[in-house]
Amino acid sequence: MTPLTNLWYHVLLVLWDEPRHGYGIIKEIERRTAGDLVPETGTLYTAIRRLQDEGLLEPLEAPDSGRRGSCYRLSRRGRAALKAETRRLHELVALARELKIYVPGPAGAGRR
Amino acid sequence: MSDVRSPGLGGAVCRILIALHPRAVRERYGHEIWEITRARARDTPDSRRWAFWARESVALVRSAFDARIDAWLAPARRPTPDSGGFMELVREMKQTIRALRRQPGFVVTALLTLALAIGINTAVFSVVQSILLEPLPFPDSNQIVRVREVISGGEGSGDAGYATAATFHAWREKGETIEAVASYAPASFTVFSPDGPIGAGGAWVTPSIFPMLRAAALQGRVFEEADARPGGRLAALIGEKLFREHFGADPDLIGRVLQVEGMECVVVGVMPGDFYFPDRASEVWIGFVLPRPEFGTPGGSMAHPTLARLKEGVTLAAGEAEATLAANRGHLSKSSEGRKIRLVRLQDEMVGGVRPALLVIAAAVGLILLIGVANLSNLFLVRSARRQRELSVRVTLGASQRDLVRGLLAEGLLLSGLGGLMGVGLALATMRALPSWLPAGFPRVEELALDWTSVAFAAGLSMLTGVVCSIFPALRTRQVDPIVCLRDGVRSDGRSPAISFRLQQSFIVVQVALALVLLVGAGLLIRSFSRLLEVDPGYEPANVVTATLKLPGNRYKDDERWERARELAQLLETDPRVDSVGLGTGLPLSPGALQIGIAAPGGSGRKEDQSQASLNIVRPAYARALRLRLAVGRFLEETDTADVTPVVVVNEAFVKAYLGREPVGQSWPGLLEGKTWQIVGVVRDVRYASLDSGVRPEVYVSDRQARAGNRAIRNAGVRLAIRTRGDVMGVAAALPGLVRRLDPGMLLGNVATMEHRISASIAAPRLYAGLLGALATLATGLASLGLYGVLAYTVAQRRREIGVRLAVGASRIDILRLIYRDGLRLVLVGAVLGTIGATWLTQYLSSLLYAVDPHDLVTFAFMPLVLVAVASAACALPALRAARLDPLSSLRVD
Repeated sequence: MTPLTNLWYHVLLVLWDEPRHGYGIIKEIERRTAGDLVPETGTLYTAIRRLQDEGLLEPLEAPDSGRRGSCYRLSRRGRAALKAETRRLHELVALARELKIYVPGPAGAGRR
Repeated sequence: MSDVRSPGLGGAVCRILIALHPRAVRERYGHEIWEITRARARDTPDSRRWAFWARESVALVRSAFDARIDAWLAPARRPTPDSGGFMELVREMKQTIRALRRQPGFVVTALLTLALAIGINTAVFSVVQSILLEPLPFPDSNQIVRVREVISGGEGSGDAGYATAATFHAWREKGETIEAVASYAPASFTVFSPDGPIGAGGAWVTPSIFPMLRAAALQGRVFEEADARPGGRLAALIGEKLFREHFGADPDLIGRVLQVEGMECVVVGVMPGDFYFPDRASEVWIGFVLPRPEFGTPGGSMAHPTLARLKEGVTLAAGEAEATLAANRGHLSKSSEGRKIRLVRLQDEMVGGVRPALLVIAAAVGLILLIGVANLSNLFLVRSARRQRELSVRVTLGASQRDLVRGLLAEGLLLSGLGGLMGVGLALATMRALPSWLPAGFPRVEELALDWTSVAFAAGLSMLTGVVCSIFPALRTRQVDPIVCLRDGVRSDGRSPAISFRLQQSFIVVQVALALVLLVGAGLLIRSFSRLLEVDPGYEPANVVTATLKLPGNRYKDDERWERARELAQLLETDPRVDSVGLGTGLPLSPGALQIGIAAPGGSGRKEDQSQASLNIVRPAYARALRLRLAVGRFLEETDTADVTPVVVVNEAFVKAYLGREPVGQSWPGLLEGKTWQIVGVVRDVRYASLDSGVRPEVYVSDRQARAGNRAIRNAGVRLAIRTRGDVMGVAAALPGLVRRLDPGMLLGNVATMEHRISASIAAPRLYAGLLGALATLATGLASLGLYGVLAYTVAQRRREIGVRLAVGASRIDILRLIYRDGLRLVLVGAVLGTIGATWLTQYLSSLLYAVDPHDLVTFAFMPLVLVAVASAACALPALRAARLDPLSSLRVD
C-alpha cells in the first residue's frame, strides 16, 4: 500500500479517539503540532473528500446539520489503515534507530 | 480595522473560488468550507488577516482543481455498467493519463518525436499535394497541354518548346481533338498611368487564350476574335492589382485608351487578382494576331509558346497525331522536314522541374518518420517490460489478454493523437513560413496551403503511428505469465530479466541504416552544391551592380536608345566609386539573351545551314566591367565605329563548335546586316544561363557597329553591368536617382549585385542541400537517441551480471569494452545495411546532382565514419555508467 500523506495521517490520528467536525480537526492538528501544520480549509476538505472516497472516513450524521458542518469519524477500514501505517512508520523508525541515525534524548529532545 | 463580522474582499474571493468546485463537491462541502473558513478568519489577528485569506485562496484554487481532476478520473475507478466499446476506451484513456502523469520524461520524449515526425511529414505532404497533385487553378486544367513543335533536320531543328504560327492556324481550323488553341508571348510592358510610367509584366496573347483557360473577366469582358484583327486597334486587359493601385479602380477606364509601350490600346476589361498567367507578376495582356503564313514564306516559322485545350476524353497521343498532321500540312512547302508535335500537360511541364527534388524530400521525411516510429516502439517496449509486473497483477485479477492489448493501444493512441495535434501545429507554422524560404521562380508557391486533406493525412498518420508503436508491446502480452512473473521472475524494481533484446536491437539496426541513407544523400547534395560554388562563371562577380534599362518605344527612336544608354554610362563613370560601366543586350543570369541563326564563316551561307548562337551587342567597356578574360586577340574597342571594318569577338565554345583553329583574322560574310565581319578575338566562356548549364556559342558585337540591326535587336532592353571600386551597395542605391535625373522616361529594373544574382540562381540547390542536411542530422540524432536508450536499458538489466564480473576481477575497462562492443556491433551492422541501401537509392538523386557521381566514393567513405563517430558517442554514456557500477550495490539489487 502506498504510504499515507502527512496530512492524511494527521487527520486519521486526530479522529482516532473521537469524531470531530472540520473546524475541530484543523484546531486539533494545529494544537498537536504546536502550529507546525495548519492546513487551509480547502486543503483539508480535499483530504476529507478523498479519504471518504477511499472509505477511510465517514460522516457521523447526515450532512448539513450544525453550523460548522458534519462531524467525521474513522471507518473500520480507516482504523485498520491507521494501524497499518503506524506499524510501517514504527518499523522504519526502528530501522533508523538501529543505524543510530536518530536517538531520542532523555527529555525527548533529539540529537540531530 | 476591518469588521470581524464581515469577511470583506478576501471572503468574497473565497466564495467565488468555492463556486469553482464541481457541483457535487460544492453541494456537499461548500457550506462547510465557507463556515469553517469564516470562523478561522475570526480567530486570526487583524495583522495576519490578509496573509490568511491569501493562503486560503491559493488552497481553494488547488482544491477546486483537484476536485475536478478527481471527478473526471472517478469513472475509471469503478467498472461502468456499459463496458466495452467507446466508453471502455475512454476509461482506458483516463487510466492511461493517470499512468503517464507519473512518467513525464517518457511522455515528453514521445510527444516531441511524434510532433516532429508527423509535423514535417504533414508539411511535405501538403506541399506535394498543392504543387504536384492539385490541379492548376483553371477549370478542367488537366485538359490543358503545352504544344511543342519538334523539328528534325534543317533550320531550327530541335525542341524549343514552342509551336509555329503555321501549325497554330492549321490545327485551329481543322482540329477535331481540341476545344481551343492559343499562343502567347510573355513580355514586360511600360504602362502610362496617371502616376507616370509603370513597369508591368504580362503577355501578348491570342484572344483564344481566355476560352482556352476558361477564364472570365472581373469587369468588362475578355478578348473576342475581333479584338485582334490585322491592322485593327489593339485591345488590352489589365490585372486587378494594377487597376486598383494605379487607376484607382475607376470603372470608366474600361473602353478608354491606355498608353502601353507607346502603343494605344483600348482597355476592354479587368482580370481578377487570382488570374496568374503566364506567371504571378502578369498584369497586362494585349491581344495579338499570329500572322497567317503564306505557303512557303518564312513567316510560318515564327514560333511562340502555345497551349491547347483537348476535348474531354481525348488522349495526349490522339491530340499529338492530329497536331502532327496539321503541322506538316501547314508547312506544306517544306514537306521534306519531319515535324512532330509533342503535347505535355501544362501542369507536368510547370512542376516537372521541382518534382524530383520534392519526391526526394518526401522520401527523406518518410525515412524520418520510420526512424521516429522505431524509436517510439523501443520506448514502448522498454516501458511494457517495466510494467510486466503490473500487467501480471491485472491478469491475476481477471483481465483478459484483450484488456491488456486495449490498455496498450489506448496509451499508444493517446500519445500519437496528442503528438499529431502538435504536428499539425508545426506543419501550419512551416507552411506559413515556407513561401519566404523557397527560391524565386518556384512554381505554384501562391497555392501552398495546409488544407483538410493534409489534416486528414496527419490524423491517419497519427493513428497508424500509435497502433504500430503499441503493437509490439501488445504482442508481448502473450508472454505475460502471471505465475512466473509474480513468483520469481520480477525483481523488486519491476524489471523482468526474461525479455529478449532481439526486437529492440533490430530496431536500432534499421534506424542506423536509414540514418546513413539520409546522411549519404545529404552528403552528395552538399558536395554537389560545393562543386557548383567552385564553377568558374567566366567573369568576376564581386563589386558588380547590374540592372536592366528600359527605354519605352514611344519616347526613343531606334538609334536614340543606345545613345541615351551610353550617356547614362558616361555619367556613371564620372562617379569616383565607379570603375567602368558595361552595356549589353545579354548579361549573365539575366534571361532574354538574343538568339540568332548564323551562318558559320566559311559555310554555304544558305538558310538550311544556319546554326544557333547567342548575340550580345555590347559597349566595349562590357569586358572591363565584367572582367571577361581574353583567350586570344583583342576585345571590341571604342575605335570600332561604323566607319571601319565591322569586327566580332566570339567565345571559345563558338570556336569549338563552328571554327577550326586560328579563328582570329577569319572574315565572316553575312553575320549581320549583310556586311562582312572580321573575327578579332576570342574570350573565355561565360556561363550566361546558370552556373550548372553548359556554355553556348556566343558572338559579341559593338553597339556602334550593329545598332541599326534588325527589330529584335532594337527592342531588346539594355542591361547595365557597373563595376564599382568597392562600394557596391552605395552605387546600387544611388542608381535609380541618377537615372531619374538624367531622363525620367527611362525605367530602371532588376537592380541587384552580381553576387546576389549568383546566389539567387543557386538558391534551389542550396535549399535542397540544406534541407536534406538538416533531415539527415535529425535522423542521426534520433538514431543515436534510440541507441542510447537501448544500451542504457541493457546496462540496467545487466547490473547483476556486471557486478559479478567486477567482483570476480574484471577491470572497469573490460566492462566498458563489453557494453561498447554491444552498441558498436549494432551500429556496424546498420552501417553496412545503410551503405547497401544508399548505393541503391542514390540513383534517384542523380537529377539533382551537379558534377558528382551518385556513387561518389568520398561521400560513401566519409558518411559512415560520421555516423559511427556519433553513434559511439551515444554508446559512451551507458558504457561509462556500467563501468562505474559499484559491484556490491549491484549485487544487492535483488
